[in-house]
Amino acid sequence: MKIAYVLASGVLTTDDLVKEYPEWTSEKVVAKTGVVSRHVVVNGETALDLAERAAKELVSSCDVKVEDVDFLLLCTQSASYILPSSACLLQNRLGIPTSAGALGFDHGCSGFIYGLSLAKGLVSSGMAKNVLLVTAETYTKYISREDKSTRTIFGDGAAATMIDEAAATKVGAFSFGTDGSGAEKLIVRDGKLFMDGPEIFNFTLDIVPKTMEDVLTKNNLTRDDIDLYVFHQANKFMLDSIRKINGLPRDKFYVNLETTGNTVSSTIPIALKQLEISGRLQSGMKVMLVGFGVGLSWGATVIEV
Amino acid sequence: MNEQEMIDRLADVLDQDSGVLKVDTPLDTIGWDSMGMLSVIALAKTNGKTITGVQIRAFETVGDILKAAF
Repeated sequence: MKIAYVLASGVLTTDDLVKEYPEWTSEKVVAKTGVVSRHVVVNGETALDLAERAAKELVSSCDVKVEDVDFLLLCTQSASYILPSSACLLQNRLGIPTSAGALGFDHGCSGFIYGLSLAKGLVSSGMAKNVLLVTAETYTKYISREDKSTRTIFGDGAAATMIDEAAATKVGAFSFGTDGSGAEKLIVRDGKLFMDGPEIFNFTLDIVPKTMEDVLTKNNLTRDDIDLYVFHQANKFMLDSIRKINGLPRDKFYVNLETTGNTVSSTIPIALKQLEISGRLQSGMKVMLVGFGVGLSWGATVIEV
Repeated sequence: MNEQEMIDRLADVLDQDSGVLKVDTPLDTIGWDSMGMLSVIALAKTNGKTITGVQIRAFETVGDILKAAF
């Protein structure tokens, strides 16, 4: 599948951040989070702006034609308005034909997985031929200046992915999960984000192994069949812990948030694009994708490159 | 694992000098923070134990960690 991504215009380095929190050193923050710098929206930039930029980047860099898009999916929890859907606004900004469908949905860290499942369903059922899936998030707008834990982790960005008939056949079966009883563990209330780090960490350590096994079973695969693991890039410490506890080989487990931070629903497509650019993705490779987080929500699939 | 071995393991996880840590050392004197909490949760997990967010935020001393994580 064709992927492009963009990051917000502003840059906030960890070196700059720790000046506000003298009890932390840059080395300590980078060692734990894996984030050296993150991009943040500035000058009124919105998730819709990032979505537009990502989609236009896809068009210009991946030979994608806007006029071929017959369904647009936009995943964001940073909508421009309560109504109408930002998906409709994005359709207009991109000049996607008015004969196309457009659907907005508000998932976070599992958003790309859910979007991919919707895209596959639309294409496989014959309801659409070319689905443009865009994930875009500006969590930094929700984060309080005093909340040093989340400020060090999150960054703003967007990704655009084209799922056509050929790409859809490379997407395997899905594993999904939802637990709304955990809603309060990661929530925006009165415009401010609250995250119970320990509880989210516990949730991740508990749910990821089960999800991995479930998605392997559903795809008639074993761990030996998986060439790469690309999980939601939550933070380095969490990913390292997941890798160690699940006994996953380091050389097959992708971790890179150095210059992006946690971009929520865009972390997985950004990681896939980075792997493509670096030449690590080879035709025929089987890649397990797992998204998990706010909701609480999780999902996984295996794609073939 | 005896108590000193647990303290040594904890010190390693928290990037602390094990000589500084005693059972009754108050956590607020050793820079106990959100990153330390996640490290201890991971440590507990490797020992087959789970520490909830409510529990970990109630910890006051090194001894509280040792009881829960080992």
